[in-house]
Amino acid sequence: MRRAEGHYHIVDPDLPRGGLEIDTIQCTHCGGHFAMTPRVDPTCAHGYCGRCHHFICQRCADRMDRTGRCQPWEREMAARESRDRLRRAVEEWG
Amino acid sequence: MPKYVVAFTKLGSDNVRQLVEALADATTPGRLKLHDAFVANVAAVPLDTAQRFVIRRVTGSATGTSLTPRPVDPADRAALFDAEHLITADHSSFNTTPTEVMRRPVNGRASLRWTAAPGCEIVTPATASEGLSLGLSDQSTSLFEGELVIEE
Repeated sequence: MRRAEGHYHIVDPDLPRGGLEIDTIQCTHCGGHFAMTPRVDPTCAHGYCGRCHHFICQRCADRMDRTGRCQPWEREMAARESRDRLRRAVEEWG
Repeated sequence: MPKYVVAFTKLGSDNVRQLVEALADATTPGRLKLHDAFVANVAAVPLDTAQRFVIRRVTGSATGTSLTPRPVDPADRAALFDAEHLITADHSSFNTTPTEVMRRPVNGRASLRWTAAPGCEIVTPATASEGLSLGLSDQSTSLFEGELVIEE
């Protein structure tokens, strides 16, 4: 597995050492984080995008299976911001 | 970019899913980056059952009480984004067809903290009234407290 992109720190008095740390990976398609087991085979992971070469979450993997489309979250945000700027400009100028 | 702490509370009298939300300002929206989230059940006797914490993207404000995000560095400007806690009614975008960016089930007596590695924060677009909300996947009348660290 590549380096962790986030961590869960769970403090639970019922766990053997009083807590648990779990690494997370970020999905490049939706920007979300999901837990991943260290050294897991990528084919057993939720999903992997061969176009942007990054792990993706199960929901985005299912969508990619259906559409075949790679839409990184950064590009999606830029598109949304562009639409929002246009909408606000139209509202401002009537 | 300045970072802000959003410390929140949920009361036991409210039967809701959302615990706290942070939304880009409607007139001067900016991107929000979630660095750190901490949440714990603070009921006197938390139930020994699973509670599923989720972070979802929201496109509107829930019914609740506004709170002022506190700059981590007191010299930084006041936050532009809007935050709410003590939520009494969830926003529909949290409940119906939500876009979930994180889900972690933990025992009711456990506390959960999530931190992002640098450059891997959960980011929201700079569009009016769009943001993130931390909550539970099911309605709850329990008491919760926690805080978010958000960069704007």
